[in-house]
Amino acid sequence: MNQTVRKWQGQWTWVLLGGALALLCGHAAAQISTIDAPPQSSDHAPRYTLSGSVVNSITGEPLRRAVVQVYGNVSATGFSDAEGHFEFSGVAGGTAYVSARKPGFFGEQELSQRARGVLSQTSVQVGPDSSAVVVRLVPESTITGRVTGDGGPAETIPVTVFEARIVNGLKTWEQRGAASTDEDGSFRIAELMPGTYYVEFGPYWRWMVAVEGAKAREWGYARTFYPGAPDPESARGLALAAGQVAETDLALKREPFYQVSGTISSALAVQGVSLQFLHPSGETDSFPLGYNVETGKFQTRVMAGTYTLRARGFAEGGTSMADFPLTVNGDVSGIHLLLGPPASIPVSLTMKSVSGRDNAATRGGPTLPLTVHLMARSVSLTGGVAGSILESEGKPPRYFFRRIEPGRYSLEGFPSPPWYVASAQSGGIDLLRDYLVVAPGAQPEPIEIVMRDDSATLSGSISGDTAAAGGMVLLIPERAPRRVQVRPAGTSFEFAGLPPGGYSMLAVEHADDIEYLNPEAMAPYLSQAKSVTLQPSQTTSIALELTRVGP
Amino acid sequence: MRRMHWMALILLAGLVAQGQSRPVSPAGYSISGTVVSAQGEQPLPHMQVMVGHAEAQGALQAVVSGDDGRFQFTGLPAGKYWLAAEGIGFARQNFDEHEGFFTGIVVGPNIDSAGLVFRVRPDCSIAGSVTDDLNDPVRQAQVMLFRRGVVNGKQGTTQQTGAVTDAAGHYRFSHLKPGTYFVAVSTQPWYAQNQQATTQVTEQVAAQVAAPGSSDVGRGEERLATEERPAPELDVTYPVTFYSGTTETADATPLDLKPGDRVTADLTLTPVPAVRLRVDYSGLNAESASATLVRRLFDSQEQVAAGATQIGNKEVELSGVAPGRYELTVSTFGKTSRQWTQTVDVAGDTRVSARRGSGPVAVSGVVKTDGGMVIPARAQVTLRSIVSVDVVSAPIAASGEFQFDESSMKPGKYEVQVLNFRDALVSSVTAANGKVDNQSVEITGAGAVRLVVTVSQRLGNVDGIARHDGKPVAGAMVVLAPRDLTATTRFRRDQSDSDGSFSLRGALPGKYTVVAIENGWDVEWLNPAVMKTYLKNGIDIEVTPQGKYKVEAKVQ
Repeated sequence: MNQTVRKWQGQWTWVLLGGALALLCGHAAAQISTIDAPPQSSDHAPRYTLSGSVVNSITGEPLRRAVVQVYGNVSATGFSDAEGHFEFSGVAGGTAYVSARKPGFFGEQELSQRARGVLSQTSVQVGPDSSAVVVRLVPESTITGRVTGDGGPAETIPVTVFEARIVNGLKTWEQRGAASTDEDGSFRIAELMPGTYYVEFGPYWRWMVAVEGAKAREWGYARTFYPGAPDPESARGLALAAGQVAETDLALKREPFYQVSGTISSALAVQGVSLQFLHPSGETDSFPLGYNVETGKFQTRVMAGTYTLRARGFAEGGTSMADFPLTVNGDVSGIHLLLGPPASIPVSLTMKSVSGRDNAATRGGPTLPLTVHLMARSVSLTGGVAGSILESEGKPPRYFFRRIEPGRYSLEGFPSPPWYVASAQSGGIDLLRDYLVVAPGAQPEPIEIVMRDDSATLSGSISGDTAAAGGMVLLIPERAPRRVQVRPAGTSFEFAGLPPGGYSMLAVEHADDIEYLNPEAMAPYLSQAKSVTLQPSQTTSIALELTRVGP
Repeated sequence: MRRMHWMALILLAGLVAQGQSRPVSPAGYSISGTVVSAQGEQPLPHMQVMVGHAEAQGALQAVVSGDDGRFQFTGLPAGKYWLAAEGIGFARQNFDEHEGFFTGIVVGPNIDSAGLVFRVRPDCSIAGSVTDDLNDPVRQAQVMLFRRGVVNGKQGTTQQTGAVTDAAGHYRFSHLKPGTYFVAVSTQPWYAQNQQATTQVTEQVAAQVAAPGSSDVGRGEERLATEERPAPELDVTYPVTFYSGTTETADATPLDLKPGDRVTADLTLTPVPAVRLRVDYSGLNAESASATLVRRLFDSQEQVAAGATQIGNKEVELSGVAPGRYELTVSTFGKTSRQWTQTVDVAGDTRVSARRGSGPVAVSGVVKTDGGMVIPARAQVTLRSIVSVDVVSAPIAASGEFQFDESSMKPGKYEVQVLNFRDALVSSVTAANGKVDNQSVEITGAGAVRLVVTVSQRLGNVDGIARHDGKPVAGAMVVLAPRDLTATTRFRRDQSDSDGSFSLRGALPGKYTVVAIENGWDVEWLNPAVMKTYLKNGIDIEVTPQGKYKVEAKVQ
């Protein structure tokens, strides 16, 4: 047992513990892996004092009662004092890591991990002349506000905070906090890191249980984004600095709910149904649904608006669905939804080998040199990601994408080099460039995919500040600007299986900041890109300079 | 009128919907009146007022009160209706509502239901902030709200609801009814570290410890655990703290809320050294065990969030415990799973041996029905603890036999009830090896208990009119009091409707007195001493099986 107890300024007691000390809660601690207890040092090893202070990274103010943790050759935990100071004595020499935590603050390592996916830690060298450590904690940001409805505070309104992030080259929304307004209409969402946030209010509805034919009218508040937009794209983001408290007051307007009723029928015996109201913006709402399995009658309510009413029926044989365009400005009855199977798209695969390789697919070989998906990605908050993987049936195999619900899809293929997708078409639409739009009830044209094996290989090296963590090389085909390929920017890189043609190349510091799969977002950077043209079966290399782009 | 049970409501809503197809006189009847605040009597505009059939939950009409607080419903068929109102600052409430009862409004030929004065109580609220000894806000603290009052005829202080403090340490209880409240906070310091360092057991309410064969792990933990204790300044906890800053219920400050009151109750928490409670269950012949602590707060019980660690062989350690008195429950696992309960006083680090004597009890019995009624397939006997929230149940076989799972039975006093038995009720209980008091049985834990439960479906109904000087009285509390005033399960209650009518349903056969009390909603009707004073002006009645009675009750 190696335990030293020492009074410091008569105020706090420090305890050094040999062995690992796992802090079980708190933000900072959650990201620090516990280091195994080192072998006990002999009593003759020199011991030093490690001291420092914990400060607010923005104001520089000292932070009292932060829990300071030292780990490395020795582990110790204690508080900072009223002046933010801490001191550990009897620390073995060598590298030690220091972290601190306190409610309402983030460790700098947490912020860097959120931003870059990299965990950085404050390390110190403990020795005879080690200097004082300063641990900076970043104050949380907070969004507060007051919501009013017609005639007074609006209570129990759900409030949700989102942040737009770029994940794998596409923008996505991530939830960062949620609350509900109190009887004064007030809410508070704290524990936010610095960033740009979008605040969603509602939807909220207040339904009485009313007898059929009752004169009672229901009402609610539509989903609203601060400062009053119907969808996040037209909303204003709140750019919050560390420690900032933003006020977001909002006045909601009470809207009547109208009854929407009708029948749902299906060839399959459905066990249950769901109904969604799709807004033109891509947002989706669902409201309590009454459905009678025996008669197929349904009844729900919705606010005035233009929607696509999407019904799904769940049966043992699979999901069937129906879409119904709907404009609501009063009660709507007599809707008839006939559930049908979602679209199934036949796919033809043609393999063109210039090197005389086996044409595996057409000969019914065991493996296809690619995996292909149809992916529908919604940028709305409430829409999801849906997709379908290529399925085969029979011998020789015939290929299909099945269960394709109406929507906008991109064809995503991952061929094994040297194969590449030379072309992909559906009824004259170039699926390498454009989206496949599947309309409700429509049977899409077959997809024709042509693959070739005379692909090119491109390798290269990067000069410039390659030490930047998270650096990426982007390869943008001129013919198909959505099909950007990415490699981590080490000192060298390689792309294989490339379709011959012209490309733009960029090495960027942080691909995480760029929506690189969106050609519009990439356009401003293309002037800084390097052009390269690849011939069939060519292997070439290129030297690239790191470009500083992004916000 | 009594608020309906949910299942009954669904059933009735269906019936009402069918009834709708009958033609209704277009003129119909009307209900009109003024919504006023119970605090000051001023008219309330913008209140949503709803009306529906008294026997159904669904609303038929809803209107918003005018600037003068007036509302009117028209075109109603003759019948009895509920009336409800709500608005900003006014939680939904029925007309003259008390404890789930309200006054139903009757309309029909020669019945005037115009000019009603609908007094609505403005909501009360209690809000405040929780700070620590350095005046920093305490986040995520559990705040408990207790209410003192007469519930089911008994005076008591029980937990009503809970809240969690936000990042600023604030909490709020909204839409409270007027009454007497207490506020308490139960939480741990954010920096608290109570468990043995190396065991890495996250905080949990009860630790399910170790399946059979894990004894190696247990031994390893014991060695380390005895070496590594958290730093004393981190090994702290907050005792449950009551407003305005005490840890004793007796010293808690009551908050008396009048209609519309909005009071502030701030609390400061001071950490105390946490203690450890080590439970030795080697005497219980179990392969493994878990332990939980329950503490009594007024008349409620709260499970204590203590970290549990398996220590060596046949020991569980609970850490982060504040000194105090607790009920310790040890659940043992092995060939059979059982629970053992005992009271422990914890002042400093404490070691207790789980006692065998406190252990499980075999309770079985037979159900007998009157009138040769067949026992329904899913019928159950339940034992509902009189002092705690425990409820245990056992299925009843076609023969009437039932047997409670020994592991879930604890000694205590229980009320015997039947479930899923159509409309039948327990009419009497006898017990071999248990003390019976009306329909409750005391299980001491000294030997197996055998119950004989008699169930009756042949219940009586007592309807009537509450009158004062010959005129019907609305809103009176009507009590059907059994001759034996300690037979608490035999009482029935209602509130008289606008025509003075009331209905006391499902009475077990026997002798009763019908008592109607005006403004009687604060009367402790289950207190025999209180009830006796009303009996002499009541109406005596003998309820025979399936008897139906009409009485005129004199309002006192």
